[in-house]
Amino acid sequence: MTDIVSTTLAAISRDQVQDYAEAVGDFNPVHFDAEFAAAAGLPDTVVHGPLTVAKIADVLVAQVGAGALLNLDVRLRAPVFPGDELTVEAAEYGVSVRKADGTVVATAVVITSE
Amino acid sequence: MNLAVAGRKIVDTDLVVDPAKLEHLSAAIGTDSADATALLVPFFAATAAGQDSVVGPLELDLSRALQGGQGFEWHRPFRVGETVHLEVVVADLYEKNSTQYATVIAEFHAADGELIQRQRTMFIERGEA
Repeated sequence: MTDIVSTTLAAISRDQVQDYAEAVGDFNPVHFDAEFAAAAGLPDTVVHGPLTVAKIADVLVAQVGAGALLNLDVRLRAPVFPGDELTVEAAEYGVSVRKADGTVVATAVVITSE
Repeated sequence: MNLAVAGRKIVDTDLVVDPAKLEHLSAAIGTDSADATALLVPFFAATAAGQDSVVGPLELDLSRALQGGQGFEWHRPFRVGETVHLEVVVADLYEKNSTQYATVIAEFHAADGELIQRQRTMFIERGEA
């Protein structure tokens, strides 16, 4: 696939989480209710996994174009919380996504037409 | 999870690619390329019957469930306002070390039968403490 330039994304806001919920109809309290999240052992509400996936896809769209994308297969490895700053960077198999503290939150295999 | 739904079709419906939902999706992505990306990544549970289209049949316990992965096979972007046919099948469902795993495949076809995209989603439900 085309080389991907390392990209650090703006932190995902709670408003963006709300927009994502409106888009997909997923109002699971783990995304909005801190007490619910705490009961599940989480330090904060979590960003929808598919929103993280969409952000990865968006980096690819920006760099190679929507028409060149054939396959994207993302494995979510750690939760993302509002305010986390994510960096998408090239990996041998496609891309990896890490937080500022180095935690890898996702890895993805990417197939493009180029 | 309900292990009995393995192999079953849990959604079989027509739906319209809703511009209002795409607008929310684009806002959630929040970049200059977001409008183009939004036409590639609508999550199937969204547009079909909301989250309940999956949570219900799988009997997911939301306090213990998370999404382990998601894959896309793209044939073309969605078109705003088009009517598409969606089928969702529980392709795999198993339990290992008291954690349950479900892989769900969603296929979107245009009115003429053209495959638009195929999505694969893995759900994980941790065992009760």
